[in-house]
Amino acid sequence: MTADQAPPLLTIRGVSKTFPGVRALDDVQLTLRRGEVHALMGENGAGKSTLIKVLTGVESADGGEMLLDGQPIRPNSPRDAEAVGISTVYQEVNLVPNLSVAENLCLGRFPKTAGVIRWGEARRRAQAALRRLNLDLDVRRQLSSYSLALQQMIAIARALDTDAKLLILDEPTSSLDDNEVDELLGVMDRLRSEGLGILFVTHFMDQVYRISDRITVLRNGGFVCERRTAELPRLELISAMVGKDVAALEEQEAQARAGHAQATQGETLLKAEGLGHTGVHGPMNFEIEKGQTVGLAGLLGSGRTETAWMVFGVDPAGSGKLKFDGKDVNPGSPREAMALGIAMTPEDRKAAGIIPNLSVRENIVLALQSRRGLWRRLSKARQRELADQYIASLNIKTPHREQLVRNLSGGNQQKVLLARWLAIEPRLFILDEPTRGIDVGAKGEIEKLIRVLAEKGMSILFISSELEEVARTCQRVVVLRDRRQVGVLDGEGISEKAILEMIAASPTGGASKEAAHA
Amino acid sequence: MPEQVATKTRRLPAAFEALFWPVLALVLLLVFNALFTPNYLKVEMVDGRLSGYLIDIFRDGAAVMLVALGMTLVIGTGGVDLSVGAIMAIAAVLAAAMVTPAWLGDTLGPWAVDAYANHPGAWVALLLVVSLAAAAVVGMWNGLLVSVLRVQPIIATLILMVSGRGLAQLICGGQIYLFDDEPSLRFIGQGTLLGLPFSLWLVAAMLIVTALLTRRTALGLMIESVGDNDLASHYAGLRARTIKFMVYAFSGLCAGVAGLIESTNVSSANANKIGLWFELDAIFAVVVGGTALTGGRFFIIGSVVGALLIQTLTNTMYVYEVRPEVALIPKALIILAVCLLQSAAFRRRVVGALTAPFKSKGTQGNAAAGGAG
Amino acid sequence: MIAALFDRKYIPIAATLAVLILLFVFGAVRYDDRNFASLYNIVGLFRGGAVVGVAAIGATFIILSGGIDLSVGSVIAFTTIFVATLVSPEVGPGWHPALAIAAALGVGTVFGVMQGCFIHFFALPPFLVTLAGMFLVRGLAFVIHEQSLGITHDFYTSMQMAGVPLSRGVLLTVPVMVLLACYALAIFGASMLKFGREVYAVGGDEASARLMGISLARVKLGVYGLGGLTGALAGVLATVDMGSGNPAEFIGYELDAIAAVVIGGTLLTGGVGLVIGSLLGTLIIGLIRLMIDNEGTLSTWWTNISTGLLLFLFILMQTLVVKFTAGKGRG
Repeated sequence: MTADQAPPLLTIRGVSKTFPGVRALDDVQLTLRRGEVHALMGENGAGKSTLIKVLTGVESADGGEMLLDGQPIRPNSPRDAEAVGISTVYQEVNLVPNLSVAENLCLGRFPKTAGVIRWGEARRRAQAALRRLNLDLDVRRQLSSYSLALQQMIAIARALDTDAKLLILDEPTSSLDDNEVDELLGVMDRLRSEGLGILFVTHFMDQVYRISDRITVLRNGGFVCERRTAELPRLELISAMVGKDVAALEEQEAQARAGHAQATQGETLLKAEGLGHTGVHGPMNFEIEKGQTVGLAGLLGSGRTETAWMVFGVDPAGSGKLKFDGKDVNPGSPREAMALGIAMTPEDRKAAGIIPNLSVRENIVLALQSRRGLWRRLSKARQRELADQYIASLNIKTPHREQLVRNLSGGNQQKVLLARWLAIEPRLFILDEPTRGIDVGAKGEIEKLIRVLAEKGMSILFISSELEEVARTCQRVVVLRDRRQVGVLDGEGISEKAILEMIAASPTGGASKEAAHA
Repeated sequence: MPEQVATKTRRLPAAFEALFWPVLALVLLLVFNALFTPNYLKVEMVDGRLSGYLIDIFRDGAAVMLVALGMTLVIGTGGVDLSVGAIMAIAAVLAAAMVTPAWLGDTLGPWAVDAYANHPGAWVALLLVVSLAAAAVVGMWNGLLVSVLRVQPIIATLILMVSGRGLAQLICGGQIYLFDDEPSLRFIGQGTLLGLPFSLWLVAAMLIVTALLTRRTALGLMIESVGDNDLASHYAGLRARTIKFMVYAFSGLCAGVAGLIESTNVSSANANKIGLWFELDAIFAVVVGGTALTGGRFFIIGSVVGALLIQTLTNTMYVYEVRPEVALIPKALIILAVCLLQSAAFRRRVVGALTAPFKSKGTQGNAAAGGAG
Repeated sequence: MIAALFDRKYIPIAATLAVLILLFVFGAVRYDDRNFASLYNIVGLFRGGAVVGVAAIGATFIILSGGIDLSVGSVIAFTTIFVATLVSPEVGPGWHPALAIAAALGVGTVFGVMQGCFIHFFALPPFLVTLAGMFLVRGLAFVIHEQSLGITHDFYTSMQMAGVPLSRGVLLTVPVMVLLACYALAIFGASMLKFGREVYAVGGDEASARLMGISLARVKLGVYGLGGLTGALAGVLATVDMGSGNPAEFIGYELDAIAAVVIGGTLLTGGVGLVIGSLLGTLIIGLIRLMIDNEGTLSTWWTNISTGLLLFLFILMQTLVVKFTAGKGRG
């Protein structure tokens, strides 16, 4: 790679930032060269987002220096940062859905004559900006009429339209499917060859290894290491991120495999027969045994969450049958599902999971209380007891049980949700992306918890985008594609590769073959 | 996790914190009055009833306290009810019309006139039920719009804020009916029980019932949960829609009782006057009492203190013979001031700017924590 | 281009237009004997709608930006009595009306900007700030003068008389011309000026708009300032109409303005809607009132009830439209 010899585009030296009680950044350094994709890695709370905020002028650093092209910079706002050549694209598409594509590209920098917008020129400029990414869209159409992936591309086009020298991509792929990710990585590759510097923040290791030239690892606000990607094996990267040595990680892996081997031969708890919505979703046919962990695997939008919603009564099935414990059921609301003994932690933890301004205690007792109903209130003492019990057993890191849940980290919020549902002692527990966006330590704890619960006889329906995690945790995997069930894997037959092959294999032709780029 | 360090310090109970400012303001206002108005704090027994400025505050504030009670629960669910004044008018007009033989004869027929003449006691009981039920039904309409149709609460209740008074006029045909011939109804607003205004006993009863309902059952937790995140509450098995529906119905009921108190106190039911501008007083009381307009945590006692505060303010202005319309000015200014004090953005900007020379960092960190979400 | 006409964003405005035409045809048939569909009545609709229509312009921009303004009725009342008092030589300084009007417009704008400051800088909910504003301004109106005050000045007399004659006895009066001019300006501003597009952007997604370099302060202070300005202008038109000022009038006009905007197809959640819709909404409200008048047997309170009912129906329609189109977005 020639990137090594290229002059540094961005140099960060000794940058620190302290919030009350927290040292978010401590003497951080980073060197990014022209024509380089530089991955910024670290667990949640490592300081990645704070560093980006400092770079983009959302926060100001307490100390240290930042040089762009050898010139010291100190942006005070995202606008300042853009002016010196630093553009950012965020995880959520930060565009305005109700305006046209052209407006989204020109907002804040409309071409004007005497204050009046020159629409013709605005559209031409928008088209030109999109052409740089090989996109040919009708720029008059509303942004919301395009897919999320295209919206993300439009956001990148906008970011580049400012003569950017450095492009920061902050988790740009979290809501994209594999094809869309491929497309985005292709664009990154092309931009790199044009000499742009790209700072890439992501949780997805695959993507880091596919695209990045260098990796900088942060941990607890401090700099850990900077290495060429080719010279940093995955396991070493993970150990640098979590601060554990490689041997410990391998042991953890082995333990996980051991748990996986243990199979169950129990009675059936849940049986789906042709479950779905005619013409839209399904039919789904699968069984969950008592004490079994069953995974739902598939790409984003393959109908995993929708299947969970049918079982949990969020979106009752329109066709087919659902048997729970031998009886025909069709829960019409989460409340009815709960009465059957079904629990679910939703995919979107913030919007549909936590009650942010209530305490840990109140969040934990909520489901149990709602099952008991309005009149049979849990006594304060019983609530405290429950909360303390789960704070201890799930190792929820909170100063006290009256802490507001919004002040907890993502992993601990997830644990609170688990506690909420464990309190009703469910027979079937649906976990939709329980490990998304939480740090590696909490991830391991949650996987371990799943094993313990299954051993105790609880059935679990497990949904995750990380196929490796599905393969490791489940004794049966139902594979989905395009809202259809395409197969079931059992016991020893489960592996990441097998799942991918099943997703990729298409009876009607190889249309989605490249989705499985394993 | 480093992020937890910042919030480790344990704070005073929320209810205590919420009560501090309104109680302080109330005490200051009372002290001001005690200094400048002779006999302000004096309470004496006259003809078997307690009287004095302080008793007046309680009697005049009964309706506000009631409306604020219902409003507290509505705001707790993240909503707001702008139609309370109109609902007061509807309940009052309906009650007044039902003791007016002319209206009964025209609207319901001669049987109603006879029924009222022959069994006045039962008829009054019936009309109380009817007018309060009407108020609750109107509240349910709001609840329906908010919970089922998911209309923004401001707009849903704004519809009735205006057309509700139209409905009230429709009921009475534009007439102003009086309670002059029905002493049992006048007792609601003017009567005395055990030395205290009867309306105050009504407020106390409603207050106790509400407090028991919200704190001895799980209702309080459920309202706060729904107000903070209704989707997550639905997923946790709560009947989020039912709860929202119920609080609007309850707010309607409270407004109905308040309407009866207001109208029987002045012995007449004018559809254009009863409950006019009550919305602000009630919202004032709730917000001053520490309940945030964004929903979630609510404080019933805080709202009662808030209602007393605004009534003390109103009565103070009566003492100084300020026109009621002009009295709106200080009310509006105080509610803005209180909201500013509660606003995190205000504290950060103004308090931060004032203390900036003394502290180099800290305030900005809070800003970041707030903006990070 | 043809496809653009069938764009989703024109559905609500098409519905509004259809309702307006249907109502008018219904009235024309039902009250044929009273010459309902006359030019006089049509111009009368605009005359009657001038005050609400102008106030609705500010309300449109505010609602498009994602806010709400409950203070406009009070601002109108305040302006009428403010102007009347300034012009009056007996109770006021006896200014020339042009000067008084300019002062009123300035005061209204400043008041609106102040509301915007509270909403933007201190992050207070718009309905609360403008509700407080509604009471504050109403109180101030009574402080200025306690009751109705007539305006007698040659300037006013000539303004009331002036106009473009359209046919015998039908005059395009000054308020109507001001109304139409205001809408022309507002439509231009909403579609061709940076400020207009930024208002839509902020209403669509405030956080994104900020990251895209839009100054939220400018937009919010701007829309509420505009709300104050159009509210004051509506008040001035009201003085021309009434020939007096009255601090106790115009209660409930905030709902009329909001109803005109909503009936005109603007979504209360912000970001979606067209300015012209608010004019159509104003005309619909006026048309219904005209029909209630023509009906004769219906009493005035039906006006309030019908506005509420209409508002309800359009909100219901919006809810359904949003429900049917929302499913498409998910991937």
